[in-house]
Parts: sequence; C-alpha cells; structure tokens
Amino acid sequence: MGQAQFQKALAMLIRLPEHNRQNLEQFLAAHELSCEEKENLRVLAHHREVNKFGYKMRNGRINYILESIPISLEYVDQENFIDLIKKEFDPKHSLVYARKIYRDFRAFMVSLRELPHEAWRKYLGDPPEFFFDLLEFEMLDSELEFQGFGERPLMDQSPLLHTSFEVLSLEYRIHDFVEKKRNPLKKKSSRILPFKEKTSLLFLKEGEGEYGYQLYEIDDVGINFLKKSLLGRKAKAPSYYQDLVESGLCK
Amino acid sequence: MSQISSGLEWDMRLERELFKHARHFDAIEVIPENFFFAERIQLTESLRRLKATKKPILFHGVELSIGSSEPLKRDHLSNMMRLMEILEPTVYSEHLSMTEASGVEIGQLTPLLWTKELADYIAQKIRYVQASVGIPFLIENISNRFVLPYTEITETNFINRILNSAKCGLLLDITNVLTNSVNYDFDPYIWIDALDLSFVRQIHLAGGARDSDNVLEDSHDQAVWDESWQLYAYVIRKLGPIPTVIERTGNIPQFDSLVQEAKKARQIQETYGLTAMAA
Repeated sequence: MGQAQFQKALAMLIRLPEHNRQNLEQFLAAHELSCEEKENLRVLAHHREVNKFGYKMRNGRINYILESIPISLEYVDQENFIDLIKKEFDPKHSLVYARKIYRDFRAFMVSLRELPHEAWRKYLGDPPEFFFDLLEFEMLDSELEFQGFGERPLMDQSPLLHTSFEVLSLEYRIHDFVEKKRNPLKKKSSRILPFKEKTSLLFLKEGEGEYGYQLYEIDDVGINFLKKSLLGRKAKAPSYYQDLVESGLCK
Repeated sequence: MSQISSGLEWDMRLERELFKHARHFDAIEVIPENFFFAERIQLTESLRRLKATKKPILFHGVELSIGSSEPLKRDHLSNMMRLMEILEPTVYSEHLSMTEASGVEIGQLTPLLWTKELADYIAQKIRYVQASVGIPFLIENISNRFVLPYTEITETNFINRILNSAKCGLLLDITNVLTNSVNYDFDPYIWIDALDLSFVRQIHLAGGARDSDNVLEDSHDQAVWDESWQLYAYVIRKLGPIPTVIERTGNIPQFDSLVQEAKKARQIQETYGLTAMAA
C-alpha cells in the first residue's frame, strides 16, 4: 500500500457509518471496489489505532460535536466556542478540530457570497440545528448588503449555487431574513434536512413552540411543492425531528 | 531573534497577558490559520496588536497538509503569504503530516506512510514552498496516532531524506518524540541520535496527558514534562542554543508559569548551549 492508496482507504474508513464498520465484509460485498481497495480498507479497519482514529474523524463527528453543545448566539466568538468544544467533546484531541470548525462557521457566516461550493454542500447536506440561527446572527451583525435582494436575487448573482436544493435553502433563508427584518419581534427559524432521494424536508418553526414541515421534491427541472403541515405545539424541536426519523419519514 | 531565545504561542485567551508580559520572552508563535476567514485574511484587532508587539513572529501552520500525496494546496499557501505580508514572520513551519485525505478533511494531524517515494514528493513540494515564501521553512515531527505496517523506512530516515533533499529546516518537537517513544516503546535518545540534527532550527516543548486508553498524547494542556526538559538539555548540549517555543493551548495556567517555562528554556540554552558552542 502506498501513500495514495492509504489516503483513499483512510478517507473511506472515515466516511464509513458505524453499522458498515461493524459489518465490513457485507459492505465490501455490496460495493464495487477493486480487490486492492477492498484489501486496503480491510487492513485499516482491522488496525486498532487506525480504526479508532477513523471512527473519531468520521464526518458525522462534526455534527455530533455541534449538536451536543447547547450553543446559542452568545457563544459566537472563538474563545467560547473552542472552550465549549473542548469541554464537551474529547478535550485532548479537539483543538485543531475546534479551530477548524470555528473557522468554517465563521467563513460561512461572514462571507456567504464567497463561500466555496463544497462548503455549501457540506453544511446544507446535513445542517446542524443552530445553523440558521448562526447565519441569521451573522447576517444581521455583519451588515451584509442584502438590500438589492428584491431586484436582483442573491441566488442569481452567485455562480456557487448550482442545485435546486441550495436555491431552496437560500430562498427560505432570505424569506426568513426579510420577515425578521419586517418584524424583529416575531420568532421564526427553520432547518432543512435531506429527505430520501431528491427530496427535501423543510422544517419550520412558526412562532413560539409551533412546528411543522414542508416537503419538496427536487428534480432536474425544479422544485415541486408536495406538502405542508403544521403539527401543532411541541415542547422541543429536536424531539419532533426524532419522531420523524423514527417514523422513517426522514432519513 | 537572538541566538538564545524562547517564545510562547499566541492564543486568544492568552492575548492580554501575552502582550502585557512581552518583555519576558523573545518571540511569539502564531498559527496562521486562526486568521483565515472565508478564504481570505481579515485585518483583525488581534493582528494589529500582534504586529504592535514588535516581537519576532513565528508561523506554525496546521493545514497545508504537506504530507498528502495530492498536489500542494496553492490557494492555502497564497493565503499564508498574504498573512506573511502583514505580520512579516521570521520563519514558517508546518507539520510533517496530512490533514486531508482524498478529499476528506480529517481535521487532525495524521501520520504518513514512511516511504522513499513519499519523502521525495514532499521534498519537491517543500522546495516550491521555500521558493514562494522567501523565509526559512521548517517541518515538524508529529506525535503519531498510529504507525502503519507498510512503512518502508524508519521515521528518522524519512525525515532525514526530506531534509537533505529539500534543504529545509527541522522544527524538533521534543515532546512528540517522547510521546511516541512511550506509546511505541523505543528509546527517545536513540531516535534523536538517528536524526540529522544539523537541520534543527527551532524546538517545541509542551506537556500532555494520557487518554482513556492509557495512550500518551501531545495535548498541550500540561506543564512541560521533566523528561522533556531532560531530552531538551540533551539536544541543546549537542547543538548549542536553539530558538524554543513553549506550546500551551489547553488547561491554561497562570501566565507566570508559562513565563517561567520560557525562562527555563533560556537557562538551559545558556547553561548547556554555550558550552556546546565552545566545544
């Protein structure tokens, strides 16, 4: 195994969900990989330290860290953010990671228009719960120039927004932002989750304690509105999300 | 920077004390990526204050991923160079590791496969970096979270091959050597002796702790270990004074104890280093 092969196998290992890790041979049988790629992945997965490292570094860890932290706007500064992450998750390992997460978020928040496409995908693929709150905070705080939005939508200005999903996400965000500008006292936030193939579930939080969703089907042509429902009052949004996951509605 | 010198690492939490007591140490090490925002550099207040200290600034990068088999991250290097224009560092170091693998951002300093082919490829990338930045470039030995069975050469041979080919400097992290020696059961003094020490331009000292699996970690959250000071003195005896930075980024103590560690590094350089030079 050379460095390039090692990197490829390590990248696969980091991406590998836990159930596939536990049933590696099943995973390998179900995927079209070369014999060499399969063998390399086996070697790393069976190497105690590498496997442990891969587990810690898997992509989901970012969301795990972030979602495990009761973050709110007061934490949006580097010192507190890093301290929080260190306190909540693996304090001996996470400093470089914390810096990176902080910087990624800061990058996203401060410079929405310049954010690389890859970063969009990274976040919009599975946005953490407080994602939009942070974004909104930064949008308000950093005085990004959204005034021209009415005549020239931001999504048309940006070559970075390629997919319907991204447009949908931004569309809702801008709508939310404008609403908030109009009525600062009205509490409203949302989040979007990937929903099956080519489908997105837009979570709504309407007013205090009311939750609902909008379901969209996204194809190559555009966005088809499927369903909207307000499910009434719930104590907490996360439990509502959990209900949907358990019901199989949301992957 | 004077020949005998010791410095501390910039951290936002330490900033006020760091600037207040700047007279007690000689240089400030900065992780440049802390100032990268949205693929660009922002002239923050911290940057202005850092520049105002008039202390030599040492860049210590964490994300160039120079050990990856992929091409050099030139955009990242460009950002680095833009920050260099602002802070005018005297030296730029990077970890001999990778932080990205086949498109996955690992987020950690990850060990490499020690092969001649990879050493030569890294040396090639280093030559490009050196030609670009125009200040001394150093690579740092890391604490290895794992060692793969497919290595072709030893770690010291791997490092020596890069140094001799690229003609760059070495940032010798004493604590990383000790950490690896405990975790992988080897003699750190023999490891040091196998290294081509003529390339050492800077030294790092730190403290760490054991994790839940009893693995020693270079976590930068404890005082410098006694064993690190001993190994440090061993190296200084051989080389003479070498600019040394105390790394402390977690479990931040009273600032005075960091100053004391910086002073201790200076004392060891004065005691053993000058003797080495005279010999």
